[in-house]
Amino acid sequence: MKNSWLYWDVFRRIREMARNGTCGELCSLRFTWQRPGKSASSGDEFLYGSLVHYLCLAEDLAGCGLKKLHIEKVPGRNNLFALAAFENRIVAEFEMNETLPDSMPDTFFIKANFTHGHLTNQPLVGHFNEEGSVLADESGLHRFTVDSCEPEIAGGTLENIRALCRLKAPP
Amino acid sequence: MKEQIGILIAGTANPHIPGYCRGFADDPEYPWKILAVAEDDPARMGNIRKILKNKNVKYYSDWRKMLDAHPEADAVQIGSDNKHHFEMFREAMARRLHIYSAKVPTMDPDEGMKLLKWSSVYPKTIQVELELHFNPQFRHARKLVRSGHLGKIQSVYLTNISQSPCNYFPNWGDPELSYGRVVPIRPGADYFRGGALTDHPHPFDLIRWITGLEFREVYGMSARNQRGHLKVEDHVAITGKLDGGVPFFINPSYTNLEERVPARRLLWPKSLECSLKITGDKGYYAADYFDKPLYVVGKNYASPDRLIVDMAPRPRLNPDDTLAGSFAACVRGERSMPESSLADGLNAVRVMNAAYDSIYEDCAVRL
Repeated sequence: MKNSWLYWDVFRRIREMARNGTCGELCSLRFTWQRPGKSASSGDEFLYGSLVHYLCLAEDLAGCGLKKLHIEKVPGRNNLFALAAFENRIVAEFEMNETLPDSMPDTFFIKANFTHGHLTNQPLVGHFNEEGSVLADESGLHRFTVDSCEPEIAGGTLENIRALCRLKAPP
Repeated sequence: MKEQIGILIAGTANPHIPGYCRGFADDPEYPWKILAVAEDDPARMGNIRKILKNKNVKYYSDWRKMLDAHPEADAVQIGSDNKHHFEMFREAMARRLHIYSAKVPTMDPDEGMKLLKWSSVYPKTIQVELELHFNPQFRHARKLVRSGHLGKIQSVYLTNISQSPCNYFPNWGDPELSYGRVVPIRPGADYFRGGALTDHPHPFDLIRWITGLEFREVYGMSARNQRGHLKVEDHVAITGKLDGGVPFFINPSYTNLEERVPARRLLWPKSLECSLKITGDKGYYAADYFDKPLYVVGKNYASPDRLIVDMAPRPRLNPDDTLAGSFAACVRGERSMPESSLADGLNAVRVMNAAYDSIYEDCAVRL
């Protein structure tokens, strides 16, 4: 099976900069693959296709053969964590989940940690590079800020400001 | 304003201690009043004196002398290098003080067993600092899980990736001071236990606290260090099973780089990545420590002239909703149990040591 992820521009740019020594020597990698259940592949394709393809990206960036692989998978579901060690002691972490609620979009990230820098397309904050928490359930995708422990306030910015105005003495 | 308890600071080697001192120095309603500080390192003592310069605080180079000189104190905060925690616990218990331990009580299982045994009949509060219980987004995660909103938990993912504090707290990079003894991360390795994993007990607590599930199996890997000069590990990734075979992932590393300068500055635009993702069969929740980001580019900022992710403050409606506040409430008798107990702290240590053993032995370790 052809590994289409080798054509992923993010990966290609990270590989190029890694090989140029932009950030020094590579030490560790983290891969995120998250999809809603409606987009899930078959169990075999998930494990022997998607995970293997991601492993190939890690092996390519590590520039070295795989030495160890450990997988923790939810039985019967496309949801796993994996750790891979390469001969040169680079470690890659994998978070792969195709069981998210259908209101969630796909997210694919790489974070590469080097001796003198980082390369990543991972958001700077939050799940979507936006303020607040994410709750996805059968009612949809909700984004909100939980603003205080007691009484708990979970809402949008305007709701939170109004609640605080009601509950707290002026700053 | 609630009555402040009187506290002694035994050691300031833990990187969190200056933060508590700043809290007391800046906030007249801080839950405790620092009566005295003991520190035998002149540089660390100088730093603390600077923070507490306008406060009436006594200073000692010998923590035992400090304990003897202040029978009026309610409590002691143990903030030394981890290696000395056990001895400080013992002396504090002999004086019947309430005890607040900064991060791990001890990494030594035998010492941990003794502390647990003594604490079972100890009439005072012992609280172990395990962070993030009072961060509303993680509290909300607990509510969602415990109420069943997310359904049956399928997997839990938590990162707590910081910069290394070892440049500005060099003791933190000393494996013996940090871990208590010198143990290579794996046979023949030239770096040792006592780094990022020892520094980050709270992820192991947070997962238990949120889900109510215990750790049952642990498998860890440690990559080559990003910082070649470090004698302790700066990367660890851990996976395994919780109760019911629920898979978890924890990364408690120092894989966000910092500038190699004596005082803390930021380099990677976000100094800390603390990201929680819980997948249930009815829903999914993701929360970030930086859930109210404020982006800064400032000539006079701690890390000048570059984009840094800072945060807007969280409103505090109840003064007890902090680690210091909840401890003080316990000491005053207003709360029956500490927010995070000695048993909670030692439970985290047990999982952390299992992760170290897994890396050393290259196998999964059952708990």
